[in-house]
Amino acid sequence: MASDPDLLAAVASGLSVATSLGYDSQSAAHDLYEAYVLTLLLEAARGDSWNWVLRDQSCNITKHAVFRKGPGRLPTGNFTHALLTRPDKQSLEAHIGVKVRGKSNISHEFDLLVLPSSAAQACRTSGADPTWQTVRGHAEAKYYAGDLPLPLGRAAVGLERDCSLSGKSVVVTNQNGPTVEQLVTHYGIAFRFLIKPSNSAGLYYARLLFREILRNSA
Amino acid sequence: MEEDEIDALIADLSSQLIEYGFAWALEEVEAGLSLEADQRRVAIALVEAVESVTSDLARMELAIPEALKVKEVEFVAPPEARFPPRQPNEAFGVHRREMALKLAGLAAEYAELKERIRGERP
Repeated sequence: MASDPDLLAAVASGLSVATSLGYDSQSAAHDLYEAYVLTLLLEAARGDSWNWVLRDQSCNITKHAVFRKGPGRLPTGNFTHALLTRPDKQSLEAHIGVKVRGKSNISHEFDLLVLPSSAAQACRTSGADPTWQTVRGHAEAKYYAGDLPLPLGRAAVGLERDCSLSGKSVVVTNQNGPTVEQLVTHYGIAFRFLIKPSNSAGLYYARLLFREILRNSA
Repeated sequence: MEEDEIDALIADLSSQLIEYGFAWALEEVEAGLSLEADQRRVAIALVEAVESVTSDLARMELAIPEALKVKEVEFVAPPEARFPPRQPNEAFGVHRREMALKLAGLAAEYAELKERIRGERP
């Protein structure tokens, strides 16, 4: 027996529109999700008395957000970052899709990186990547069509070991991932699942965690 | 839905995902399913995959500029990108927003479909 033709036509129409928007590119979906996770961090910051502005590479305030298509480096290109300020705290910057040098001297891509603004400025001046010691917050943003596979958890643990991220890192995903959760939480990495606009409860807990990470940032 | 309808739906959704360029999503669904998953679970996972690559992404795209207080968000290849990024024939501007709104509105249809698969509605 064939499926309901009306229903399949609706699915086909949706997929066709999604292709027109470029969503058929897996990396485009990931890039969009990184930006979405950044907005959750900024909403969390606002709720905890931080102010933030978007800035370009020259540190001018901007109303034109330009993010990286795929991984890049903090010191290169004219990309947008957020400057977070609070009177009693060290100023921070949030960047998406940039490399961080670990203890092994290997550079790793951080989907979302929070670091002191002074450290980010030093990178812009010197042209060097940030180092693991400067990380104040980190999120791996995993946009998947199915439950997360275990190798993602192994990669997050490897990142934790090379960059000492315990207590300041979270794997954020739009899907579930019970085995990934079990693995990463064992190593001090938080896990937030089903983080997407339709899940207000999940968004609440994601923001709560980002607030905690920001509180512990300095 | 009866068992044979579920089987047909799985075949049709899988074909459509491939046809429209979302083979990667199908692979992720397969990788995330346990071997013990029954056919209804597989069908729901496929609907959720379609939802992920359509209405969920559209809702995020619409939410991001609002949260950042900007009109539009642009994604550009970094200078160190080794391979030139794909240049899809993407819609821009107002037309793009209209399309995203249309996609975001499909969430209710996917919810209804999942209820039918679970047997919660005829």
